[in-house]
Amino acid sequence: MKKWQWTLISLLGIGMIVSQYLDFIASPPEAQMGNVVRILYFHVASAIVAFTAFGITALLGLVFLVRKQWIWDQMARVSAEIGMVYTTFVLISGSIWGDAVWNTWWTWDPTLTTTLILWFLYLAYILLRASITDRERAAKVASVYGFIAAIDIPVIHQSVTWWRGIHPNVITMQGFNMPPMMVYTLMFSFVVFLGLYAVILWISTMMAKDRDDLNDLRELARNALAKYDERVGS
Amino acid sequence: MNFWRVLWSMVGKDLRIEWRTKQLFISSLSFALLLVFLMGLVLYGSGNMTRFADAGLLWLLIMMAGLFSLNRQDDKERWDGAIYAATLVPTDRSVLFYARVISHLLFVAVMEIVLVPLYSVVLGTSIQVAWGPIILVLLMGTIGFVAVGAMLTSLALTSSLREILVPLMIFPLSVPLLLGAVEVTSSILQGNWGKGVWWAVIGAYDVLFLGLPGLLYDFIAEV
Repeated sequence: MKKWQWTLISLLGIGMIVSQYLDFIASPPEAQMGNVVRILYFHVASAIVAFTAFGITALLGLVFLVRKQWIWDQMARVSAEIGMVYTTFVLISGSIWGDAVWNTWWTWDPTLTTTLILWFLYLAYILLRASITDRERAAKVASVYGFIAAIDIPVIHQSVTWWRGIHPNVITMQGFNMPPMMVYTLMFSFVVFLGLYAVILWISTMMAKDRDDLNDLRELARNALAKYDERVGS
Repeated sequence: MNFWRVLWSMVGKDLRIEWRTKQLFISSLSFALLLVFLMGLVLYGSGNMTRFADAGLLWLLIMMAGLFSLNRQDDKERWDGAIYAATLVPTDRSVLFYARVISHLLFVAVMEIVLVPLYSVVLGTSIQVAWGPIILVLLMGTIGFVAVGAMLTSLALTSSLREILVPLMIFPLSVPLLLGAVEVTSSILQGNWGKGVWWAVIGAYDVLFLGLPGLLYDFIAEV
């Protein structure tokens, strides 16, 4: 890696430590929830990363279908995997918070339900990719599926919302319903989490690219060897 | 050849095969009958169930049976690579998708004609309340489910996890449809038409999943 890349990653590392300080020490406890509110900084930031990651998957899938360049597909694939991990974080941290505040680990609230459906949708995305051996076919099919899933998500969310829910809406059209220090902390954790997402996306895309290149080389070598065997045998 | 002639010859082919073998229909229907019987057995009639649970169970039943026959039809199309030969159609390939939707819709509709009255008898639900709305919601709900199913089975065509992947994709994607259908059906069972918004959800879902795959099908059909 180059020097500027190391610098950026180091800055991100420092940012993450600062974010811990803000989360646990600098930001005030909430009036009713007390210290439980600190889960929020992890929970909401993870949710932002998960949605961003899935959005990028859908978008890059389309770019791949139009442009047919492998790098877009590799990036879309990796992004879906990262999104999946962060959705899991969201569900788990939300459950812990729910137990403390709502006194229940799970309810059929719209936001919770949509997130769980999202988790299943992208589980299917990852399995779909992994279970198709032809790489080009897998990429095309997954791109189409990723796009359809992304279009369906607002519809799912809207339909589950008409069931009404109890999930707190911290960010509304009027702005944040929080004291300034909590807003800064939350904003800071958004930045740090998205930064971490970008770094993971970049490193994993490079790895996916290397893996694909290696497979291509292996295929080439295998074909060459088969041709050689044929010639020697005859 | 134009689009419509190809479409009808594809649908005709499906119906002719089914008429001669009756395989798909008999296997799916017996599976669905078994489900109805089991539901009646474990619930001991539906005397203690709410209308909402009634409607929910009915839709789960229809979707399970529909899924089963989708998988069977998919198997049939894979024999001898028939699905690959079908990509040679002399018109837009989305015709394959629409033919699949129509023929599958017919299968599931016929199945529902047997299933729904039987369900109401076994579980003691009275659905003589209003046949018109019930038939309408069954039709609209089935169109949406069949459309999304036809799309997803072609997506998962070459996957080695096909049998598990198709349900894993269908059910989360059709949550709006399921919720809408259940809400409307339970209202109808209580004697009214239900909220307009849920009819709109079902309608919008039908339009979305009849239109979108038609546009994207070219990418999937090229093998």
